[in-house]
Amino acid sequence: MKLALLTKYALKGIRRGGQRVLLAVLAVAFGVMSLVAMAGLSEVLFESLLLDPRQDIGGDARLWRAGYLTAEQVEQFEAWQESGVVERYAVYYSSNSGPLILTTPGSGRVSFVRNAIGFEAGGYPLLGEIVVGDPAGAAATDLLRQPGDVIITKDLAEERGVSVGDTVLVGSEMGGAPEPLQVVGIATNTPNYQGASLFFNLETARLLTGHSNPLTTVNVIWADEASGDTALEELLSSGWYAHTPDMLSERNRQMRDMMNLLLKGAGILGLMVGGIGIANTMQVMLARRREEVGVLKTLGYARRDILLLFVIETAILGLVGSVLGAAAGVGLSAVLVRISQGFVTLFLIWRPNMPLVLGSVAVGVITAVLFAMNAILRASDVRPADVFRQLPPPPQSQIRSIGTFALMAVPFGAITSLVLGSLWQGGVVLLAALAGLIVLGGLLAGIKWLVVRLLPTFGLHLLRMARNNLRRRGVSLVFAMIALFAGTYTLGFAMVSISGTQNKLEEELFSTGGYNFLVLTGPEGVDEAQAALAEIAERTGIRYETPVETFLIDGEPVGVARYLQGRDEPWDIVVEGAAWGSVENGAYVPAGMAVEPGATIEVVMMDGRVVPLTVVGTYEIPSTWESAVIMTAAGIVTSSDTLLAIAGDEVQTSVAAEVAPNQLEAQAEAIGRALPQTAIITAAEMNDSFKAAYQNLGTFAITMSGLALLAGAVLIANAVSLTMIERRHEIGVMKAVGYTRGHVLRTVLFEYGLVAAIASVVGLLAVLLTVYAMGVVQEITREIFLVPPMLAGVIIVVGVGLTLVVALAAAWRPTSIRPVVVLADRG
Amino acid sequence: MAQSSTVIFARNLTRSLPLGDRQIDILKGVTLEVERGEWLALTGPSGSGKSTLLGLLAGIDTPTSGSLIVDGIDITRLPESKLARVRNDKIGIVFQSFHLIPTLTARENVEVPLYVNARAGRARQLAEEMLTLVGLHDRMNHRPHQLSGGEQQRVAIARALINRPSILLADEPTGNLDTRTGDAVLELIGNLRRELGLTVVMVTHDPLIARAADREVHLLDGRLVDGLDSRPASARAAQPVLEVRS
Repeated sequence: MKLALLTKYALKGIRRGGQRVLLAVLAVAFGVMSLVAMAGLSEVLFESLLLDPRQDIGGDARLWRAGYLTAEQVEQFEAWQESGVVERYAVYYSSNSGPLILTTPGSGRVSFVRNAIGFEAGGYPLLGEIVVGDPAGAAATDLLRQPGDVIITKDLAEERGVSVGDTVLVGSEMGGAPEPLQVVGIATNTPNYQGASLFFNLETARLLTGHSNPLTTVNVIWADEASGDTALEELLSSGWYAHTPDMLSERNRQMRDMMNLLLKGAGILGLMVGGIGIANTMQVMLARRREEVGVLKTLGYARRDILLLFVIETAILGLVGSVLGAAAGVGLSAVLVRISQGFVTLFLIWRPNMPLVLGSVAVGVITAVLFAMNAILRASDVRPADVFRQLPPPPQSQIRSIGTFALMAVPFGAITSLVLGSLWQGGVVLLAALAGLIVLGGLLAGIKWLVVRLLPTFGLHLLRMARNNLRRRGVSLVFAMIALFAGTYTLGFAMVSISGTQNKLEEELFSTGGYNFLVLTGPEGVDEAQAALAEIAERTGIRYETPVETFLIDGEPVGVARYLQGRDEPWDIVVEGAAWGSVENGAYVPAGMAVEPGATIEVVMMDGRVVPLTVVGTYEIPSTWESAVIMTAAGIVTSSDTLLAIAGDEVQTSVAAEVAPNQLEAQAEAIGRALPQTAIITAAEMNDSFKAAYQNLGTFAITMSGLALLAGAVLIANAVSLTMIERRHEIGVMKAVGYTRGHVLRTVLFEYGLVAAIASVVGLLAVLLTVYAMGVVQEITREIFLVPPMLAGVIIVVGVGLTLVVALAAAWRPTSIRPVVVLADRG
Repeated sequence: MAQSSTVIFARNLTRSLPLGDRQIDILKGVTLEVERGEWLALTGPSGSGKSTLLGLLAGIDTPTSGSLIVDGIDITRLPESKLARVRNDKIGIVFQSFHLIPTLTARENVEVPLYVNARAGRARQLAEEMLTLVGLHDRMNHRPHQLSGGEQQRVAIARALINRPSILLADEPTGNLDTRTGDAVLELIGNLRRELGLTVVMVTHDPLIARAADREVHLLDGRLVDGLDSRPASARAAQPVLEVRS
């Protein structure tokens, strides 16, 4: 009953609390928003990036060999399954070894495919699932009925504007006419959360690879660990390669710990900012209610009643703020996940995490009460007689305050440990935050003290007033300075990183000169492609190519890339030896290879045929070679006639061209329309893809910095508003003697401009120090992370500017108070 | 159990306060008795210790030495929680500056003392009755800033008396009011005293108000002044000659 009555009393006080209540609610809301957003992002990243290693791999082991698997190699797993060594296994085609591209007919633009899986029904995946979003709920194997059917992941579909029923062209980046496939489904998630993926049946894999049995990979779940280890050892010693969960576990654990600490730690720091805000606000709110407390005690309220009343009031404020903050945090986490998706190819599946939200609301309420406790205890100690005698409150015992905060640190430490899921991480974050507060607080307070002492006023009376006001300000201002420092530091560091990375990126980007335009087509489309390119290109060249099993000389494998390439004319290589095309079945080996002219080199084709060629010369890459879209020649080179005679339908062709760099995009669209069944890759498109990831990362960094600056803004608004409340009488008196609102506002701007300048300059110095330290540890960063004067200026201007705007907004209304109102209050 | 005729019994009360590194003696050995139902005026110049003495009697301050018994309870060294109970049950206090809670309406202000011991089941009804008694039936839902000074003081009186205490302490209750309003408030206090059987101790520096009381005691520099009889009326009646107090 009493609890209900005190709650009713508390609610009345809150409803009529005005600006102070709003400040308290906003402070808590900010804190909880940070926590929910960071923790939510962290959870999404955990789920996607740090998948259970077994699911990431697709079983207890993922196995592959060089080239395609033979029937005998596959049968071994069947035998092991029968004998109980293997519980389950899946054999499938995976394109991991060769880059694929995807385009839409006539678009002239490509997407790069990370993974293409071809499988039989019931075979793949062993763990996880392909989640089909369109048509919703359909099973992948039910959709992939026909040769040519393909399921593409949502990111590719969005990138290329593709829907179910559309035709896409899929081909190798190495060349060859891309294969038209029909989109029968769009996947919203994959077994290992990887995006940029395609799924199709084995028939389609045959179409794409031209191989009759295009199985490349086996995923295995062992029946037991011991037999699995034995089998794995046997496989590894017989030419198999393997990925196992052990290889990922340690890496994942380290990444998880780091991400946990960084993201959730940032959330907790945001919560602390909110806590500091409410501590400041409650300090002022309750200080103004001394008289009310005196009256309540006079009417018979005991100290514990007052304590309970204010705890209830704070808890209600905390609840309102936490609910608002949680809602904002949910939205913010969705935005952060969306931004993060821009620089990872993984599917980041965002969904509201209700336990996290509810838990954060509880944490917000508890945090509000904990941080307000010092103010509550002080308020409940009010002696009625002192109030009615209008004696000032006794000075706050520093020891008692420190003791109170230390005691409250224990439960708050428990909260941080709970959020981080680790006692030591919670302790680290809390201690680091406290140490930071103490060190930074001391530094900033010291600098403020010095500046206030030494600052010349240039005869400006308002500046003198501002300086005198700053002398009087205490802890709340230092907290605001710390938050502002943190904001300008993170923003400054983000800007330096982005700027430096951008500069480095420009250097690392592909050149758009040289052969910068590539048309992937089959042999039958070469003439048409060349004719189309002749009108727009300075020069063109055709490359023919087929992958081979190996090259042998005297029965021994030769250490060259396993490609047999053909040319009409050697347009991209310089040959030595026999004149081009003068010798039938003549082959040119890389210069420097120790092979005598006239030697026989045997080409072992993928289908097992062995074709002898005669070495007639060598080739080397011209020193002037420049191309972003087509790799330098590799393997063994022969004439196009010889290659076509040997490889026939298995030849991949590509036509390279040099186009004016500023025309790349336009010409790609034009050629794409003219040759709808081809795929086109340009240097500009490759650079765009490269830059996009960095830009998204930059956006993410700026967003995070923005949050830190927002923290600073919240505390500045809090500090200014509280100052205005405390100085209400003073402002009334000033106006009564002739000062205007403008005078008061200018004083406020001088004060907070000074404070912001101190915090921003210290923030900038911290950025410089960090950059210097990085340069000492990693020399290469000295050239990347630079702080030009302009950037330094921007950092200061943003910090000071934001503060002035916030201070002006917070002081605007309070400075409009009429003197008679204020002076009547004190009558 | 028969009630004692002496409702307040203060013996040798002293109160000292720190000022810098010195101790200032506000009250210097005050002995005082107040009979049940009596209206006592406590007069004296500014700084004489009147409000301090009233604060001790109200139980919102603690004497440095001496003893104080209020309505049969020795409150001298009572723990705060029990003292709060005494304040709630037995004492009503009215201030010069009203000290209403600005965020509550008149009715809510009057209800506040009832929440302490969870006697709030009829809080609304009791508050309305009390406000009607003080003539503010039509102003119940107004907040303090919407009321005149006299009305605010009436609310304060209603609040002080909502728990039907036996003692009403008033510290210059008309100090912030104009003469006419002040007279009305005094008349109200007088009426309520008769109706509710209150014992009233009123601090005032107005001699006219002091003469309206049954008895006057005068404080000067923290002591009760010689020449004015600080004994209750019954004692004076029994022994009319004044004794000189040292």
